[in-house]
Parts: sequence; structure tokens; C-alpha cells
Amino acid sequence: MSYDTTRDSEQLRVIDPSIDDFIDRYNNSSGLADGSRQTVFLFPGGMACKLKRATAPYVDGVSTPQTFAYHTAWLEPEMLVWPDDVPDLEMTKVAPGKYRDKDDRIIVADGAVGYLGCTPYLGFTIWCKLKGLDYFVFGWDWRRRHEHSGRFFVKKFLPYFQARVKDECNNADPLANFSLIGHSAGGMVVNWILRKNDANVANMRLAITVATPFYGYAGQVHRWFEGQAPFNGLFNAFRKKIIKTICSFPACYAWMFLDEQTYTDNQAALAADPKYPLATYPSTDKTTGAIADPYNPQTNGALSRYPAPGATGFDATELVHAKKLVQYLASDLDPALAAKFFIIRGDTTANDTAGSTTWDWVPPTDPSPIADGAGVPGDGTQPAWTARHVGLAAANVITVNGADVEHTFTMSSPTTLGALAGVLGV
Amino acid sequence: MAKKIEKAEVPTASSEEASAFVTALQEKFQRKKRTPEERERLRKYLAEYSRGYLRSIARRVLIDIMKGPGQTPAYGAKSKPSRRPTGKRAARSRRKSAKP
Repeated sequence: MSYDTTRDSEQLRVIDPSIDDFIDRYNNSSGLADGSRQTVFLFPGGMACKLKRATAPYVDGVSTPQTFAYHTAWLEPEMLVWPDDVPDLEMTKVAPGKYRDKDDRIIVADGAVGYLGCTPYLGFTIWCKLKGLDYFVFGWDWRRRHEHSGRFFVKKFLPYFQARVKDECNNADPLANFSLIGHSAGGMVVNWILRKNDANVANMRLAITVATPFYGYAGQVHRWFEGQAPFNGLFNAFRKKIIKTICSFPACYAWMFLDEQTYTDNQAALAADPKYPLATYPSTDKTTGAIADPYNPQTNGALSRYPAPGATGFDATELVHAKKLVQYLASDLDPALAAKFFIIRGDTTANDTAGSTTWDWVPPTDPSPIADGAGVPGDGTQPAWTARHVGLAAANVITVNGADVEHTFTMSSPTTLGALAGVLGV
Repeated sequence: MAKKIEKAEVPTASSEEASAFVTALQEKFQRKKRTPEERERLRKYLAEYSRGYLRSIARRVLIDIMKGPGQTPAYGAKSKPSRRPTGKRAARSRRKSAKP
């Protein structure tokens, strides 16, 4: 079995106990108030899925299936203190679109992160139980290209899940009435799955995104230069390694503010958002105010926009690929698909979400060339203007307000869950 | 009849508080090797805080990670003792009050 095939097979094996849990819940639930059954799959946010790393490397050239033991690689409280494990998440590109994990030790996803007894999805799962929804939290590897996670879900996971549940739940079909819910970057995977409209999901009732960016956000562009606290460590001792690790993650390239072409194509619609208009392009040069398109980085003599590939592993070809993806995810939807696409976006009413960035030329990369613009309405992480696809009907875009709809924990917010109940009809 | 989840106040530390807590942790442990003894020392150190307090810190750390570096404090990068808003003494005092 190849590395990719082994990873997929291991991913299913690691998910198995979560399917056991689903089956237990299914067999011990009477379903919705009217007795009917409804399955919801939750895709947690980027960085909000737990990742596990094999304790031994995959070996090439072995014909028999390989299985491994795993330990948690993301996210452990100890990482605050000893972040030297974070670079173990680094990926290596072995061919265009093909990646391996560091030292060939396979990494798989397993549900949502929990951190010192704190998980962003606890409220959601309790709510599902109270409502009688049959829920499954689908951990996905947020480092990999979103379409890899989407394809795995549709082609590998869903048939496997359906067969197991039917087998152990008196032939009940968990996909007879099912919806996908994606939080934050998890919504980008849901958006991709909806658009691909594979036969395996043709029966999907609803695709719902919560606090998902359709046109990027400010946080990612900082990470190319600043790494990610608190894993940079004391006096930034680990920052270079953290930046190199982040630069190796293909998914992160698709998290930046929208490209100029997408902006131009949707400028009028973005400006016409009745509640949260986007008046100007959100990424501009620090000095001139000219457009600084993250997906079409210009040069200025010897100066450029991104850190040097040699030192950081920044991958310009990944940027090209990500541009195609973000354009695809922001493009017009088939009307039949748009009808089952719902969006929930948050506004904490604090007006302190970074809604734009300015960009200086590099080098130097330290201090960071990125600065956030003025705060705008949003959930503290995603500006409200980005968390709505402009092509959807007003009835399919729900805005929730209040301090409890803060981005990371919005899936445990009674306000957000109330909106979700309305969409799902429960 | 549909059950309803009530809004509940879930304490969340401020970014500054979480940054000071994490920086103090890093100052205390990061320069030492991750041995079983050090891990045990870390476990005991964290056990001196109430679960509620640790959760409030954990919530903020998760929020700040998702948000990205631009809008959050640098956690440890500007942690020279003379400039730190809450040093070891303050951290000890808070720890006492946070004990269950």
C-alpha cells in the first residue's frame, strides 16, 4: 500500500471509535421530537481538530498493510511550555499535490481539540443530544489542502460510515436525512463538498457554514512572518521553526484575503451588503495604499512580499494552487446548490475584528511587514463581510449578534445554536 | 417540548492575563529539558490553580490562536521581567486567590 493509501486507511481506523460512539448514541436515542432522525456532521475549524502522529515511520516497499500506534500531536497543554513538538507537524511536498508527514510518520485527525478541559464544541454536542440530532464530529487534517479533506470525507469516510451504521443499527440509514455543518475553515471544506456535488452527497439536505470566511481574513498573512504565539516560545526562541512549519501547510495558503480578480468580480455585491459592506480592497501597500494582492505578489526592485523560500520553505506554487481554490469557493453557485446552502455569521458588536491589512515590502521580515487596519464588525476573528457568500439569497444568510458569538466558541453559543436550530428545523 | 440551552457566563481570561500566565510558565519551565521529573513538576504547578481559572486561560489561548498573531499579544516575546505586567509575585498572589 502506498503512503497515501495507508494514511487514508489509518485515518478510517482512527475514526472507528468515534463511529462506535455514534452507533451507541444512535441506538440509545429516540431521535427528534417527532420521532424522525436527522444526522449532522460537524467539521471543526482549522487548528481546532485534534491531530495524532504515528509513533513509527511508514516503510516504503512493504506489501502488507501497515498500522501504527499514535500520540496526540495537536494540541497538548505541554506545547505551551515545550513547543519543540509543534514542528513535528511539518509536511514535505514529494510531488505536485503530494505530501508526506515529517519523518514519514503518518498524521491523522481525530475529532476536535480539547485543551485543559476546554473544547469549542462541547455546547454543540450537548445541544445535539438535547435536540435528538444524531451528530458526528468529523475531524479533518487542517494542514492539508481542503479538497483532500473533502474528497476523503465523500469518497472514503461516508460509504464506510454508512455501511457500519447500517450494519449495527438495524439497517437504519444515517444518510437518509443528513446535513453538513462547517465551522470556520471547516466551512471551506463543506463549501467544496457542496460544489463538487458528488453522487455520495447528492442526497445531502443542507450545507451550513458558521463563521466561515469566503473572502479570507487578516490572521494568516501575519503567520508567514510572525509565527504563532504562544508556540514561538520565550523570546521567540522557536519562531523560525514555527514559521517553517506553517509554511509547509498547504491549507494555510488559502486563508488570506481575497485575490484582486475575485474582489473586482464581486466588488458591487460586497459593497452592497446591507449590514456589513466592504468598501475597499482589504489588503494594501503600507506606503502607497495600492492593492497588495496576496495571490499575485508583486516585487519592488529587490524587495518582495513574502519571506524567502530558502529560509522558511514558503511555497509560491502552493500560492498559485490556493488562488484557484479560493476563486472556486467564492464563485457563483448552481441555483439548486445555493438553495440548500445556509450561512451563519457572527457580530460580537465590539467592532474590533481586523478587517484589513497593510503590507510593507520585505526584507526585512522582522519586524513584521503586516499591520492590521481599523477594527470592523465581526466575530473577533472573521469580519462579518467575509463570512457571507454574496451570491446567496438574503434568507440564506443569518447574522447572529452578541458577545457570545465570538469566533472560536460560537458553536457553543446559545445564540448561534438557536440560529442553527432554525435552519435545521429542530 | 423543546429543551432550551440557557446563556451562561463562561469566564474567559483577557489576552494580557493569558499572555502573562503563559510567559510565567515558559520562564519557569522552558529552559529545562522535558524530563519525566519536569513534567511532574509542571503537573503539580498547574494543579495549584483551580480548573475554572485554567479553563479561562485555555479559552483565551484557543481564541488567540484562531485569531492569528496580528490582534493578540506576543506571548513570551516581550517577557523581560522588568517590563512584565504581572511577574512571579503577582502570579503567586493570583494563584492563591484562584485556589478552590
